[in-house]
Amino acid sequence: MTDRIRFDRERGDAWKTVIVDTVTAEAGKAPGLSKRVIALVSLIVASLLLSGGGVALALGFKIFPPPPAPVPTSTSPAPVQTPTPTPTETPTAAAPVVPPMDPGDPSTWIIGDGAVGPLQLSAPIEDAEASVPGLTVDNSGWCHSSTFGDAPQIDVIVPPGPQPGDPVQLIYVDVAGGVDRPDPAIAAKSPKTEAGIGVGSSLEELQAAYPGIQPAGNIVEGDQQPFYALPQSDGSWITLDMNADGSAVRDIVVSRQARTPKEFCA
Amino acid sequence: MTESSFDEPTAWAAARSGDPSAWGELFEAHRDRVLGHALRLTRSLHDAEDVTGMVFLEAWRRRDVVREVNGSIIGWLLVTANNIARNGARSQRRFRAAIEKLPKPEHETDFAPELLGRIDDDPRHAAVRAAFAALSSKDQDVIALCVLEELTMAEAARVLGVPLGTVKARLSRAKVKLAKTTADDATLSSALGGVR
Repeated sequence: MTDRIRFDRERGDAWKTVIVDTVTAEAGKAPGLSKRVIALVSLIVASLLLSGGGVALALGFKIFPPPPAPVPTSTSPAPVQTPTPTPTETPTAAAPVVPPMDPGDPSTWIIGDGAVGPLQLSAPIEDAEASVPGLTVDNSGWCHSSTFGDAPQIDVIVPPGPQPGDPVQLIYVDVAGGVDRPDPAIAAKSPKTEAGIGVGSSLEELQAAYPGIQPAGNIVEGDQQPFYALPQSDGSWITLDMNADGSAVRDIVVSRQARTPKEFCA
Repeated sequence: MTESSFDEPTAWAAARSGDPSAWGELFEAHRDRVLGHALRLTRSLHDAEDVTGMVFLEAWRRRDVVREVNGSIIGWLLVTANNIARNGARSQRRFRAAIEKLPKPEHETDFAPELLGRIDDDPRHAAVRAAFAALSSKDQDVIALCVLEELTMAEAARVLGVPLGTVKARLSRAKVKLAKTTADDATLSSALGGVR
């Protein structure tokens, strides 16, 4: 029926160039890198488990880099070495964990209870626009979005509802360009849930942060690409869409639905 | 189901390992067939071209799970075209960075209207698109592969990763639905003549 239709030569050449350039840019990077990251995470986990396991060591891991100083300072008193450094170190260690939220730095944003950092579900779109630098109407002509640096970088998309004047319908976080598994340096800039899960977090990290979590379904019906859904106390949901092989979080959506809508920004 | 004169298994092996020129060859070999299928799912040549391009980006992104059947990935590409067309805006967003590198489609202002008009005015095209859109996604996949693209049911089963019996059942169910849809539409009935 459409046998005589052929790709427009110019457009076809342009698409071919985009495909070839994409492969050239990404070849040998993503798969090898993922494996390296997995290996690194496995090594860290293994070393934690081997050296004693549990929360105590996880804390120790943070505290020990500075300790060489405190330990020798504690002069002669015999009692156990830990009590003295621990109380002094704990506040120091706790402070940097919760940095103040910076509207221009999505790595400081918390995802949960109908919000992603300064962005709130159901808020007027003007409020969203005012709360995040660079959040302006994107090329869809409908959604507001902001990319924090040159792509690929963390990207926040805020579609309002379908009618003019509708408030924020959902908040979508990914890496601009739909990167399947971002570079760890980019993933580190993602907003995160209170349990520390952001774009680029691995499946293992997700399962460790939310023990027992199960896929809520597949992103596309009949496909094998899962998503996870976290109910929030205000009735909203955090949806975590996984990447192609299900090994990492590709995008995170906060909305009133337990799955990402197929269509938005249109 | 293999395209004529290039060694697709070799090209695909090279493509999977990240050879950019192999992706160029695969695109050249399959783009018109994927475009033809995408045109059944979209309302404009421009959209169909973008769906086609995104199909290949998706194939690159998911190269580890692309199914090669009888030495060709065409079946997987066609099913992926279904998914991308269904997910419209979401797919566009996923590949936004790539799409933004494309030049604006100048042909929309010259010969495209004539072509687009021909596509949209063609009652058979519109009828097939409407009937196809009314099917569930799983039925769309099986009709696309077995009826529109004439793969065997065994090939379709391998492309979709489901048992042959599942394809038979889905095809039978989809044919019944299409038969109901086409019952009062002579044009559609003729366009989908092989379905009953």
